[in-house]
Amino acid sequence: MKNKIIFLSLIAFFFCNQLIAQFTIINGNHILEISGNISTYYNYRWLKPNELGKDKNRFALRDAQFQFEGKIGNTWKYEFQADLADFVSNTTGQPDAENPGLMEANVSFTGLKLLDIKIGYGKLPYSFQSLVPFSQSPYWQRAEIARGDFFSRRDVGITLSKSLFKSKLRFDAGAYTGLGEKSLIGENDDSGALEYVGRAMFCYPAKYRYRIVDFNHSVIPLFTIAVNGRYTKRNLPVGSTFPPGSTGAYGIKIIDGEKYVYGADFAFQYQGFSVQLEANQIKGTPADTNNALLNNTPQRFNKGHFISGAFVAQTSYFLKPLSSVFSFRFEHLNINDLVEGYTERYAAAYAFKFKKSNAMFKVQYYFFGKEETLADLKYSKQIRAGYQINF
Amino acid sequence: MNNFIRTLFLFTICIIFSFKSDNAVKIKYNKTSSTKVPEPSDVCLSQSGQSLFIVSDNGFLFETDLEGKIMRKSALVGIDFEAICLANDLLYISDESARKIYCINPVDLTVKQTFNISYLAARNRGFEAIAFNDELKQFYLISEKEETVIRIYNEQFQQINEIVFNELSDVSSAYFYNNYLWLLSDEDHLIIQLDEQFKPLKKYDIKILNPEGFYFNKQGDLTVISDDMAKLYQFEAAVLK
Repeated sequence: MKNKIIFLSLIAFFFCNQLIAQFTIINGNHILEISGNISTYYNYRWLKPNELGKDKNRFALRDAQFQFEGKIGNTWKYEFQADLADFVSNTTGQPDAENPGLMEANVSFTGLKLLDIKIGYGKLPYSFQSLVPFSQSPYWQRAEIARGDFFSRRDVGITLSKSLFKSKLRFDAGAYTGLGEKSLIGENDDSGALEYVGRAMFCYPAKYRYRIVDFNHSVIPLFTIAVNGRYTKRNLPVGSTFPPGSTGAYGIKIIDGEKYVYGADFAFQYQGFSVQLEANQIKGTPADTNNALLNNTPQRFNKGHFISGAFVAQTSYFLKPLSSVFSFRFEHLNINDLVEGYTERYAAAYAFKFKKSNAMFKVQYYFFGKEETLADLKYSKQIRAGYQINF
Repeated sequence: MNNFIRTLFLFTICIIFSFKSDNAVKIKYNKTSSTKVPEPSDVCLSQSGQSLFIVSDNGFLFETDLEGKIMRKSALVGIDFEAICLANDLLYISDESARKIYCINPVDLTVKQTFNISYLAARNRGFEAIAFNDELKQFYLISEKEETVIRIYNEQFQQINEIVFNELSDVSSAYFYNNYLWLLSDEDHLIIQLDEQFKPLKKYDIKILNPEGFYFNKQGDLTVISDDMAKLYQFEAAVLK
């Protein structure tokens, strides 16, 4: 019955793609915008031999979001965004890092000449792939490295930002609880430590927006290059553990010990053609030399740390006459250098952008070239097709 | 891997077939100048023709020389100025987010009158363009996209008519010149001339990044301002013939 309702909703969306329902409420110099987003898809997986669970072959409601964005004069901004679909699916208390339910709840002060200050919960200034709004992507899933299992995508804290030279140079730096999406439980872990994140971005010849697709067919080549890093040292008292679900699928999102994450990304767009390249590396030094992340290797071999890394290459073309996006992605992933093997994943995406509305029909297909044992997936290929509308 | 090569091949074929001919005339600018106006979002020529009025996304109004060098700045601070035009020797500015039209005295840059114009849409989908038809004494207020609407108002900003306009992906500026309404599109990089039924008469393809405003001078020379580049691009009247 549930599948039937979602299927009918999907059909209905196709016929009402001109639905525009964003509203702006004005009271003096206080401006409030109300908007939302709904997306739903059908997912099919090709299971590996001897795998029987077909529970992921289904219709799914990915987003049912509403968003309030406010501005008071030119000095205050606030944002509140939540996803009802995630609140329902996260009843287990384990927020999905890519879809955590509460997405933004923050206030920014932009009245200082020196810098802007943002306080609250929201996206962290790290990784181009993570910072691109989902609604602007032809894909149904982000690259694995930016899905929230290697590093958090959102957290509670304070961010300082500064733009220079007509936004060609931008710096962001901040301090956060360090538990990522799990910070919403309201308490830190027993280490009481924070995580520090910084990003520097250079764009030329003009400012670059976080976009995968060059929908505007830029008339001149635009590019951006950025470096970013984050650091946390969390030493849990003996007998203490992290809150359930906070360490991510591979146990490296937060570790008991010292963790550095550093990365660089490059993006280019011209005449509808766009490219994004991104590399990230994690160096984790567990406080306990017997930590499972060191894979029982001798210290002279592991030198007390493990390395995790990923490379993502992505290219897209927006075919304006057909209002269509074609995109390809390659991912190389090594979850832990102390465990043999690595993963290579290929993805292709097609998106049709409806004219006169902010809606897209999207299909994403991906398959694995190589797979490391740590990934431990039950399927070899997956296709996902569906519809999204921002209103 | 074979699947990947196959899809890559299809992707290449699509790109090749995407290059299509267009009936827009490609025109090239002959001169550029930079301005220090932050995030310029529209421009208009002063009555004397010796200076420019430029509005910015941050809600500021500047007067500059013809090269974009700032001469003075208004004390008025809005939220998001997106459009400006000169009408009856007064400046009219659209504050897109606030849904306000400010009437400004160009002599001292003070506000003479404020009009509130309601428009139900997203904060940045309000009126992005304003133009004045001096003969009919009518204002044209145009929303950016999703969908583009041309609203016609009298001088007291009472609505006369509304037209849904589907010819462009977006509209970033408007200008009334030689008895025709001209529109600028940022996403299509086009300037189009419209007839009385709002149908395109001529299209000009301008290779400028993020064009947000334009005007014609008395000689018919065209100037376009780019927001992201903070530059003025000048085209000789001859290229528009």
